[in-house]
Amino acid sequence: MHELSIALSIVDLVTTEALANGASSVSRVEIGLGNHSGVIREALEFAMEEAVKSTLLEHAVIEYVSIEAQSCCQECGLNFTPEGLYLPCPDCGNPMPELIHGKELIVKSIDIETTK
Amino acid sequence: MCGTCGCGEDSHIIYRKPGAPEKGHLHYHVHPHEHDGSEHEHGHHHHHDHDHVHSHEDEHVHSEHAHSHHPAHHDHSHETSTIRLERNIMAKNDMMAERNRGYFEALNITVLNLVSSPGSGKTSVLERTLKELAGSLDAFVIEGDQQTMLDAERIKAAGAPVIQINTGNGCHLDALMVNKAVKQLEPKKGSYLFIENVGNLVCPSLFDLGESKRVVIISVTEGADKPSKYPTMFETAQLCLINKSDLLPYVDFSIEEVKEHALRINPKLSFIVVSARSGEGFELWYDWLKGLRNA
Repeated sequence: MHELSIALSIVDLVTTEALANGASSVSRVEIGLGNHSGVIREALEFAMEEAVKSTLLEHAVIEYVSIEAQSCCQECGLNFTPEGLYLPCPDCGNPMPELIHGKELIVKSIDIETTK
Repeated sequence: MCGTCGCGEDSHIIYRKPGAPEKGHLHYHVHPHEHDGSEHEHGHHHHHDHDHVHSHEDEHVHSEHAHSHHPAHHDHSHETSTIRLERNIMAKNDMMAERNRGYFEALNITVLNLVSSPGSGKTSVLERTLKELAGSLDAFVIEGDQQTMLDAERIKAAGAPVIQINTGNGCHLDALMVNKAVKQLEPKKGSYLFIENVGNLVCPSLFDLGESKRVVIISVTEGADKPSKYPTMFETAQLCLINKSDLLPYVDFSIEEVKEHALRINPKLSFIVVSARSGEGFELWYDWLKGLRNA
């Protein structure tokens, strides 16, 4: 449900950057979505279809790159790919290893068209 | 575009104090049908319920229909360039939340973001709190619901200044809504501001409002495994109120089990068992609230 406001934030952010770079349109947007970002990709795709209408992004190809979860244990220093959320460190049993990747919700890059 | 339902209007969000007349734009509007131009070959002007964003496309259809935007027909050339951004999509909300936080800190206002599923008793907990603490602390309330002034009326009756945010179809409050509401509510220096979020255990967890603490409320009529099913809300909260304890004899709900589920997600979470109906546990809740001042 919150994906539409996130889609609008994406359009907002990309439009600001595109205009600042003199773009006449945006042809590609690359979005990075962490596995544990709290956003459902299908819902975001659906929301984006509506959000881009009548904007510089209207004809842009939207690419979604998923970002795998990665944890780091602050106790023993182990870096590992967690098999699920909220699991203890597989090595030392620390109940709260830090999730260092997987929460991302970012615009990685955009392709803009400028008219010469 | 409206951020709640995606229609052409800017916003459906309504801020209103109990008893105040409704102001701002009309929110029960008609959604216009889609205009892609092709279905409108005749040359008359369309009458719409409100201005909408497709108007200039209509003009194209009337005047320049034969002119297609094929690159080959143009003398000028397009150049494509890639810009690396790596920008956080939530940055705008997070920045506004930090602005709110700075404002609250400067005025020494303690802000609680109350989140839960619908029906777990957020408003009832607030009502009792406001009535019982009326003499000992200044409290202000922001109520978030999709529709109605019902909660704001209850809070007003409990004696606290309140503003209702109706999000329309929106499933959460965001930092900008709180920023706007606070400007109308004008909470006093040194007061407590309770923000009752939209009843929803999923979406509000992503949106920082600028609160001092986040309080998640679960009631004993819900499943004890809820923290594992909806982890983000329990992960981001500092306190969990387990409400409706007066019903414990009648339901299969284990306090220990819910704590176990929640602590697996957030080992730092504190718990207080309360009943908004009987008042059980409220002294501990009040101690916790007052303790935020000394921290």
